[in-house]
Amino acid sequence: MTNELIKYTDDVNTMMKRYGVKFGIYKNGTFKEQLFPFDSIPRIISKEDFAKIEKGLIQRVDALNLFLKDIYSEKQIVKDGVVPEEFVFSSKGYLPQCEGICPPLGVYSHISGIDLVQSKDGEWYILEDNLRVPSGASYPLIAREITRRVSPFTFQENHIVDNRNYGQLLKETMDSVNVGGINVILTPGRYNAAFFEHSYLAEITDSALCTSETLVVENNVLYYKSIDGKKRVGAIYRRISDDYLDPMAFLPESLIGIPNLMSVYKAGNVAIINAPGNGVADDKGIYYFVPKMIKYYLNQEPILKNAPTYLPFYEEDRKYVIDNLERLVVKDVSEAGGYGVVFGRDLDEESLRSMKDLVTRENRRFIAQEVIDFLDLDIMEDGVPVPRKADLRAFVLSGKKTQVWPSGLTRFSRNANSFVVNSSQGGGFKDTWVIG
Amino acid sequence: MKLNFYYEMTLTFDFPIKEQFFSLKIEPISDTSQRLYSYEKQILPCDYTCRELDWCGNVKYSGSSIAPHDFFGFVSTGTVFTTSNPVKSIGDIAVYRYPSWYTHISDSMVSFLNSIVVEHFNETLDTLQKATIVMDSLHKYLRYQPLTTSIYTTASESFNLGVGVCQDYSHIFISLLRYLNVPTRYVSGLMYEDGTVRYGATHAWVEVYHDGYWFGYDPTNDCFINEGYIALAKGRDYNDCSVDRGLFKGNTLQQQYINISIKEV
Repeated sequence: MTNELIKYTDDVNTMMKRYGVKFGIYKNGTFKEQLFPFDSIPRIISKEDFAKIEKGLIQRVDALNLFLKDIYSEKQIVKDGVVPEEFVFSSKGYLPQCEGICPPLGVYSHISGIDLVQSKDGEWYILEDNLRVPSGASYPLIAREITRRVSPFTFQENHIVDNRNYGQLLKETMDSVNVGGINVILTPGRYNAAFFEHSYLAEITDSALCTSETLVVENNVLYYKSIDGKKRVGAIYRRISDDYLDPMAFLPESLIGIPNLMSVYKAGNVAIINAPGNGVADDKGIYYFVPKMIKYYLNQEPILKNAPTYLPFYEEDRKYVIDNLERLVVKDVSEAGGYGVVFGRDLDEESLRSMKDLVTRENRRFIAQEVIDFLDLDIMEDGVPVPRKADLRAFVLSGKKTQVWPSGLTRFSRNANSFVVNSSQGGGFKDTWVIG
Repeated sequence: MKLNFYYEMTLTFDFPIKEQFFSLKIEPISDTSQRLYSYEKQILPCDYTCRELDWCGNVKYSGSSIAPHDFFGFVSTGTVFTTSNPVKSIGDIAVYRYPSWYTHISDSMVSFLNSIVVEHFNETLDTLQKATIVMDSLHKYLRYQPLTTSIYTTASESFNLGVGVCQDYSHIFISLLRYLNVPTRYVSGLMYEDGTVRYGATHAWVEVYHDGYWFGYDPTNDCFINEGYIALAKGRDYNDCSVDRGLFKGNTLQQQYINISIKEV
């Protein structure tokens, strides 16, 4: 079956190129668009395996949404001593401007991209939660579409769960929080890394694709200025980060945001997808506390495990990190996209020492994790299969209910020695099949 | 003290601008220290205004003026009763314990603070007395000098320069106290003294939290706040309290005209 697909790898990549399936990258200050290399050998997950992942993800995202609601109101979890205050208030993602605002249905993270890895013993671990504007769903979607076209028999002969419902799921989610008016997708424009995705998602959800130029606040209501007149916006799926969202509330120099949008949001006149301020729940420091949140809010045992994580903030953990640094991976809490990740085993003696100093001095800034022995996936390189590190980004959608898209983005590292799979670091991707 | 205040601001543009959006925090706060008896405001030109309470409890007017215009202004006027009472704390204070954009502390500020602690602190002092000592030392260290720092200058930058204005005094004072784990917040407002409006413009000072109440300190003048202070906005730092924030489209020079008068009644 995969042989058949391998034969078509070049055809698929050529067609993706023609469709403009690209990923933008800034390197040395210049913008370059590059293809996001697709590998035809799919990641295969059995229906049983996926059912467990699905249950675990729904549980996790529900707890994270409850955490966000709590943080921007009563902060009971802090008062009860489960999450230390400093992890909330010194988080870059905590936005006091969101205090007291309860979004429609109480949902903060409508689209969550949860990154998992499978270890060699088959166990799945959560690597990180992305609750701000996780990207990537469009890539496996369009790859599946093209693969179906070049090799239709594969999909007749195998029981692959159809994943073409992502647009429908996303539209349902947008509709469920829409406060009256149309749905729009706000893009910073074509020089954004994920512009292809923005336009594709607008197409499959029947939303208007907008830049800030075509959106305006009047009388505390958001409008879309279309060629056939002004239309009220009820839900805005914004693909720009919180900092740039509203120059009147956040970074004043933002040219891609919508002035006074936060006042509209606060008055309940628009739903913002995902809600601003979610960064407080997905930084690497808070990650440590997610299993505790699941127990705290849902009174359940976590179904999916975190990678074993240590917080140098706690003395006991700090001691462990200092003693074992050479076999741990250290991550800067406020960084993302594979930046700020240091493997102890790559450090010489002097760098190890200075890292230990740094971790001791700025103990809130870092987490340390055991290096998980990932299950390698085969990719094709020059016509031969070679094993590479890979993760899985699962997409969880929350509106009236929380649902998991039965697919996902499998990213792999093209470098044999690298554990970093981020597309911004030059990785590739695969389709993800749920089979059964 | 009962004070009539009149606060007028006008911007003129030598070339018309358009699509202006604004957010104004110009209405005095009502709390246990001051009460607003009567109030009127006018904003011109404007398509709409929306009054809301921001997350710090300040009144905020947001709005826009889309059509081309060559001036923009507001008048904020009314009667306010002021006291030197502390302000009863409502809501969460934890956020005021942590550094904000302007108030990250630098190594030289930490050593400045440490020498104050070593020299002057002892176990009998409470938070407010400690804050007073820090304010005195800061006042001796920093020199008042307009036009050297700007509204974008952070606490550590003006500390390094050794000079600043009320905004800088307040930010440095906040950074130092927060480093001592004392919740501290920024206040912007007007100051009336000996029959005149000090600075001819808005002023900034600081509130220090102790035992359920906020106490006003004016590090620029090395004193506690009194009945001559009218608070307009409070928050973590200047960002949360700027009286007038806005943006517009246009290539123009702008001139600002401010007229503030305060009278005892």
